[in-house]
Amino acid sequence: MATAGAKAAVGIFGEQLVHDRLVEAGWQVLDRNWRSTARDCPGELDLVALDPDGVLVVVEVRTRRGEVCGTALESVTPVKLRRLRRLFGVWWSAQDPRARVRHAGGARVDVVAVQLQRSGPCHVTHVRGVG
Amino acid sequence: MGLGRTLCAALVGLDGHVVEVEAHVAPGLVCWVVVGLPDAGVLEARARVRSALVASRQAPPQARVTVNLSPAGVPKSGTAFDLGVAISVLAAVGQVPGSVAGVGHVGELGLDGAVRAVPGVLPAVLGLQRAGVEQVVVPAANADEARLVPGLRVHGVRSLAEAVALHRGEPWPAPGSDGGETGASAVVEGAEPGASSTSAGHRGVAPAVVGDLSDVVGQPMGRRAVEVVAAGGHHLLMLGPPGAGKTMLAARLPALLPDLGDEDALIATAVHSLAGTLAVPQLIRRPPFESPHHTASVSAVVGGGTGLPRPGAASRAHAGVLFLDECPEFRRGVLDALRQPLEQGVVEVHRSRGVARLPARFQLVLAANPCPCGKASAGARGATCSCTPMARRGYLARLSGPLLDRVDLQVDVPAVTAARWAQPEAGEPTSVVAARVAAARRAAGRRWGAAARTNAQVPGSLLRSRPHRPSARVLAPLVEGVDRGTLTARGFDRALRVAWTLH
Repeated sequence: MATAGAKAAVGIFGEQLVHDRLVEAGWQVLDRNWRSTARDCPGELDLVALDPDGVLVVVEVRTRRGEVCGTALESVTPVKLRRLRRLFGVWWSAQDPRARVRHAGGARVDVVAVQLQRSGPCHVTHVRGVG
Repeated sequence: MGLGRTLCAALVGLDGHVVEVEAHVAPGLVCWVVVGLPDAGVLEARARVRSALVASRQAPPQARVTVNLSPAGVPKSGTAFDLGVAISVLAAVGQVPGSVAGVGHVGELGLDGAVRAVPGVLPAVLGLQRAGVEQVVVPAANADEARLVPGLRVHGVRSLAEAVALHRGEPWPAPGSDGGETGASAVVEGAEPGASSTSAGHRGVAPAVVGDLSDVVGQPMGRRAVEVVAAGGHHLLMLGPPGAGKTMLAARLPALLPDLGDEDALIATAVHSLAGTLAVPQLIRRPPFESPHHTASVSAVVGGGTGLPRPGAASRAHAGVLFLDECPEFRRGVLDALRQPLEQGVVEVHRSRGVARLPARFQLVLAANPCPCGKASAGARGATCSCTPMARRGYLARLSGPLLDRVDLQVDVPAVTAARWAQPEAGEPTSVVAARVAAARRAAGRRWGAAARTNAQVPGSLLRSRPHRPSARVLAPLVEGVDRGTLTARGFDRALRVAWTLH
């Protein structure tokens, strides 16, 4: 059984990997591991970034080591999606009004699944515009 | 990622409609959507198919899966779509070739990937065959039943893995090589003989073990009546005290009837397949005998139930005999619900989602006591009856006039006297009477040609037209009866039909 520390390490590894890849692809990261302080809507956004087209994207990173408990993509439920959207609203209202004007190009939520392999490179699946 | 197609069948009554199952696998979050008027049972296919795919070593697509059952207007219910949904999804992800689009699939999936038997395989496969489908994949336990449909290639599979191997043209997974699937197929194999033996024990679909007609003591009138209705396909009402032999006579009627023709046999087998009362997967050749208990509900007798209408006793008796013992004890609604099938040979079950038509062309045999205590009958023995005149009158009045009007022949079956009982010689055995019945039916077939197979089915217009119209002198008593109101127009025709049989 994985310890809590090992599980967190897997998550941090996945987030770092996705962050590096997106930056490489020309994304502009605005926020990392942003925590909501709103009492009615606690939670964390893994990444908030502008994609090369200037669209504001909330990126949720899911990292899995095995498929015993379901795959990474399967772990994103409609409830989680709803929470992501609400968190995005909290994040947005916390932004400087002048900064908001620059992000007028639209917004979406992406999910990036990272499937770690026992050996060799891991599988990364980027699903755009999930909700 | 892409689109996969295959064929399934939806049952509306006994009609199998071809349903095209389309699966679209598109990038997105993992999510299964089933559209096209599915009911709760069809929606559950999502869970079963996903687990069955995993058990069959097929990774469920990590994407958005949309399954459409078209035409969307036909209501779909039950679990027989599982196999088709699984195969269409596999076709969408390229795991099976696109040629599955022309193959029919019927079967329920277990979570372990086993393909389980479903009721109504025969009508479903029949519907596919009529629509021009040439190949079907069915549960192995139903394969013999599906093979009754001519002109089809039938593949029986025990697991989803076998179905996949079949479509890929690979050798079938060898039993014993793989833990999951062999366990599953072993369960199916083990369950099959057990299930059929229990259902055979409960239901006398093929009345093979009823006694001989010679067992019936006395009752020359009753015997004659049974012979006449067997020869002409008429409906019969027997009135008599308890213990006179009404039930014995009725139970011996099917044995007098000839074997079912190809079409009747197929329809009767399809009805029993749908009802889940098919004891052995082969054509029902002997006329079925159904005797529902008098507490039966309307839907138990004429068919019904929520969602997919299930055939009732009237449909299960198609091409055979429906025997209602103690018929005045039946609820009035049940008896009156039999009027439509008696006239038209079909039951129409109306539901908000549509009308299901089930075949129900049976020979009705009613038996009744003359009064609640059963002792009132012709002769001195009637003196022992303890019923009030009111009760006696009310008892048979429960059989509505319109129903009795549809019964061709009414006969008294009086109590057997001790003198009869003492007589050593037995009556004619079934085989002798059955031979006469067969001869009479052949004669009727020659007489009416294509218009009817038995005297009871002759259309009234043919009956009253030349050259079959009897002379005015012969008809005089009947005409007088109609004029006086003691005989209805329908009764007139029925009297003529019975007369032809007696002739």
